[in-house]
Amino acid sequence: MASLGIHNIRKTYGDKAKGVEVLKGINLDIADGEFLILVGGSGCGKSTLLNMIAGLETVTEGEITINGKRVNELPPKDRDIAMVFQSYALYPSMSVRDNIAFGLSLRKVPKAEQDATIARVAKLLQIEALLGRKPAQLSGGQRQRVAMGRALAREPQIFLFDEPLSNLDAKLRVEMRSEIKLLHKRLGITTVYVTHDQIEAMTLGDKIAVMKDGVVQQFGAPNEIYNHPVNTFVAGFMGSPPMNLIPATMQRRGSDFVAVMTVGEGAAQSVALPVDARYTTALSDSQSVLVGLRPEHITDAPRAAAPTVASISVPVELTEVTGADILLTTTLGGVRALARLHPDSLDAIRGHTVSVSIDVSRLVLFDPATGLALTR
Amino acid sequence: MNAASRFFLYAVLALAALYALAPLWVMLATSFKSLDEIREGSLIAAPQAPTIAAWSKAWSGACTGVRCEGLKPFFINSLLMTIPAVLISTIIGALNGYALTHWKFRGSELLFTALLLGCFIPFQVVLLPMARTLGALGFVDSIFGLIFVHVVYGLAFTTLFFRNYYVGVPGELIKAARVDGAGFFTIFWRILMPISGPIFMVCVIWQFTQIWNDFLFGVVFAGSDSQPVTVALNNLVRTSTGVKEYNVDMAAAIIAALPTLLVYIVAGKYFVRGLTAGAVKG
Ligand SMILES: Nc1ncnc2c1ncn2[C@@H]1O[C@H](COP(=O)(O)OP(=O)(O)OP(=O)(O)O)[C@@H](O)[C@H]1O
Ligand SMILES: [Mg+2]
Repeated sequence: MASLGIHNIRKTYGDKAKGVEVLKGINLDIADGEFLILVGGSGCGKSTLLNMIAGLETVTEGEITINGKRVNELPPKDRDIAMVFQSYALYPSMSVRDNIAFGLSLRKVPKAEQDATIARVAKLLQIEALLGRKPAQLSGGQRQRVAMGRALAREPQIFLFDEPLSNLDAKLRVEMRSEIKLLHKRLGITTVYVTHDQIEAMTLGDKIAVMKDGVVQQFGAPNEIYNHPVNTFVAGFMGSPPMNLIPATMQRRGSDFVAVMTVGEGAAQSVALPVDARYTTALSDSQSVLVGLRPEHITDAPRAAAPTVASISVPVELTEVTGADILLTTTLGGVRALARLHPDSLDAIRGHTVSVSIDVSRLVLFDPATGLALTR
Repeated sequence: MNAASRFFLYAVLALAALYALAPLWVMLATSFKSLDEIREGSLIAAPQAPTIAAWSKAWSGACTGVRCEGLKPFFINSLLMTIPAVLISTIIGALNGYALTHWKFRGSELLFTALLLGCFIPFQVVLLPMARTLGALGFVDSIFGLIFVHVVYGLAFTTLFFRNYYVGVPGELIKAARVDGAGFFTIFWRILMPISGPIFMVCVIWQFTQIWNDFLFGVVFAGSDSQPVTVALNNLVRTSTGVKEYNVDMAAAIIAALPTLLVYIVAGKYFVRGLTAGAVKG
């Protein structure tokens, strides 16, 4: 059980003066038992941050605390951390069983207890039949589960997972995701979890930190991140498909504002969406903005139950049937925009245009120059 | 490939093999002949009346300078020198390679470059400084001195071998072991050693042949009682009491070369395999 503090962490590989700064002042506070998700593009420094928490990379600047105590100088073995590495890092000369037992025997766990633990994690991860094999005799997904087993065999202060499910098939991935969630519920061990999977991020995390180029863009609860992204990077990064970012111009209508955007190519028509009053103070007449709208908030009649809707007619450019939804591509504000329609609507959208409802209460506004969200 | 060119290829290969093996055959044949037969017969003919008299004299009776005990005592000297020197230099080289790749410290690259330089220093250059060092350490004229010299000189090579092998071991493997609670030596013995077989063989073969075949260090640093077999062979061939005993010389030369030959036959395939092997998969 442990809280984790990351304060003004900077990391430069190699020479401090000449090297490239990979982390540029990270601040994260994770309470005891919390589940933190780290997301961000490839190369933004997620693995580096995990390595520093584990004590495997030196801290160039800043402070890492566990339970409020500074651990910058503490070697990895004294931090009581278990970690799943992105490359699995299984010991090649040892059997699966010995891979899992290695950390236990170094920590002087009695043999009988080791066996019980190995049996428990092998069952959990469905690798019982593989215990006698060497890592070279396993598939990628099997190796990944062994790597997971090595970490789950212990009950450390903190779990660090670096994309632990990335190589599993869809079914296993869903199963393992639930297992991790259940395990976390039962044991309540503080966890930092790197993933590129939107669903893992949204369902597992108590908190999500979205990173870009070594800087945390936003740190908050999954709902907060999803519904109120602080900038266009977060808006475009979270969600699949991501939030639409539609260029529009503000116009004053009495005491309120509307966002005016063109519809379809050629910009012959336009539509005005009412903007929530909370934005009023931040806006001025004929100001350019980016309107952020999630695909599921541009939908058709069967789904649009909310009272705050505006109905518009949009051209149909492309439809993709995913099973649960239809993804409709259209043009709004001169750029591609996606709408998420009910699968039963397929017949209705055979034409050239389709009528969709926009939930204007969910719309977020960004400054096109800075990419930052306007005050809400 | 058609039959004609295949035939041609094998003919060339057979010729090359013959060329390489002919001297060995002459040595073997001569060593089993009596002196009379050598004088009368042809050089490449097989012995008419094979005898091991020359072998037994070379092993335990021939004179090497003032002593006339054959090569045996010096052969034992060589073993006493080579085996510890090979093992010590290989193990230290492995530790060096491990530290230089996975426990990098300030200046570790510089240190490695300096070590590399050691591979290119000719033996002659170190003779005098080494003589003084041995004097200071009190190892003069002893097998310890020779072991010390060979370990120091071999380290550059063994470190290079192991470093290049361990560079291929992913860093996350070592990190995983550290998180599991293993320290420097535990990781070395439990994680790296079990996958070091191929490069270990390379090092052992390389060091064994280098040290066993060394003549210069043996001549310069050994006392009369600690001379290795290469030096003794030289003395044996050069000590003649009247008639030159070619059969004894040949037998002695084969005896002196036998261990390296044996090492090649037993472990030669690992040499190639080890040099070309990547460290780990998975
Ligand atoms: N040992 C190292 N020396 C120098 N640069 C490094 C080192 N390790 C990582 N980097 C650099 O640091 C940056 C961050 O790497 P990191 O592995 O933390 O990315 P990541 O967020 O985990 O990416 P991915 O999602 O692809 O795993 C990258 O630009 C990488 O090139
Ligand atoms: Mg990574």
